[in-house]
Amino acid sequence: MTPEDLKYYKEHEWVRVENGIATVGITDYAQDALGDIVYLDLPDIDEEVMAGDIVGEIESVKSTADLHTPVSGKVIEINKNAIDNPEIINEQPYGDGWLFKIELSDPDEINSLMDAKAYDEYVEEL
Amino acid sequence: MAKRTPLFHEQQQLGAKFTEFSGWELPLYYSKIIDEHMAVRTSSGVFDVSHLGKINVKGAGANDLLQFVTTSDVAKIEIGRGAYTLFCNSIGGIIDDDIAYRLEENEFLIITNASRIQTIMAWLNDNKYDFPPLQIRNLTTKLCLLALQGPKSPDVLRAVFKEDTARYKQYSVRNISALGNKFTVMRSGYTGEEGFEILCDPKAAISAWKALISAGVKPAGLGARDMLRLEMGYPLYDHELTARITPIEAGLLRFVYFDKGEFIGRSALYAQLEKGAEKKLVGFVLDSGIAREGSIITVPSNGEIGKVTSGGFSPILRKGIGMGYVKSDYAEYDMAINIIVRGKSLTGHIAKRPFIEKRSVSAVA
Repeated sequence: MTPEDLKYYKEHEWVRVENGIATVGITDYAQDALGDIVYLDLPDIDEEVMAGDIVGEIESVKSTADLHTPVSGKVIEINKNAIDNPEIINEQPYGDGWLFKIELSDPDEINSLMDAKAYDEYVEEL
Repeated sequence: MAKRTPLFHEQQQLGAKFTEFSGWELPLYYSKIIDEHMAVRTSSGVFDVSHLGKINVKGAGANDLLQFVTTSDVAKIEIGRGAYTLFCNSIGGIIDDDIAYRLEENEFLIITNASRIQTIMAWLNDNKYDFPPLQIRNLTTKLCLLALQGPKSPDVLRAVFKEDTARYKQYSVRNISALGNKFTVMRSGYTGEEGFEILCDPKAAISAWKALISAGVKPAGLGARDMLRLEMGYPLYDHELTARITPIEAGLLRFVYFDKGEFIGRSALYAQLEKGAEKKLVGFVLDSGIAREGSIITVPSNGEIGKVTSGGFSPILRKGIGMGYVKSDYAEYDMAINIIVRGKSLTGHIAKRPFIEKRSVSAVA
């Protein structure tokens, strides 16, 4: 079930915005496609990133995927628990498996992302 | 169109995710790769490895032909036993790594890599004319091969096949009747665990597969198989081994018997042994991150020293591990190295293989 309170990026990241802070993670579709996630490389705190940038990597036992940021701004927090226990991303991609938080530099960017229904349709066609 | 083994539909029913490998459509995993890996390390798992080549060499010249085209001392293989061996070309390059079993005085079964079946068939046929008459038959698609692996595999073999596993020494081969079918059971494998490989016709394979799954053996796919062999530091053809790599470079000199007489590649290998190899296969462990095939290996003092041939994640060590060829001067345990992965320099060191403790008498490499 794709959560309806989130926005989605074409590279299979999700975004939750609260008070100008965006929390980013990868979708259930992405974690399932990757399989067992074993290593995570996240952006640095205070790093300035632009929407669409590759900001890290997610390694599973069978492949490597780029991690993109769907929104621009400054990285203010990363999920250290996910770095130490990457399997949490497989288990709870929309919950404890979140990846990083960004202080938005352009809050309007969120409007160009897909909602849950549009993302489900997008995945259907892949 | 990729070939399918006779167990394809059984595997589909178990929810297998398939991948193409050497022209075959084979299970990559059924549930989760790490779960399948750990089942083999702690209990038991079963792989369908029917894609592996099965070549029967029979006749008066069988022993002498194999003595000439492989590096091992075939004459010393007793009836009912097998040995890991290499086929080399005239420059000493490895054209396949195989297991040769002596079924009878003048009959052998060669288990080859899937991608090398035609090469080995042609090699045997091209070289047979200097020897007494013999028959060479490719039985690959007529027979199935299951690999039952893991510390509990002897218990499973006893329970399901009613076999006394004490009768099996490493690389022994026996013909048995069980489950209303005939099987050829070998004590071997590619995981480093206790294990058996079970050769039979498709009908028998389906009944054995069902019996093993019913007995609680976890079906395991190529994903786990690759990680298991990597943890043991076992080479894989087309990665660590190619027709341009010699057994000396690959660290497989102990499988080359120079004193057995003439064999293809002997003089080239002997010359390299005297002169020394320029590159050597090493294992490495990374501090963090994972290196994949093709990544460049460097040392701080001297730049590039080699390339990764296999890389992955060890669920036991919970670290990135792998193998690669480096200039011989740098093939030293504990040497600090860097591996360039997607523009980043990962730190690690050259490490002894196997990467994890040797686990069974079946672990050979």
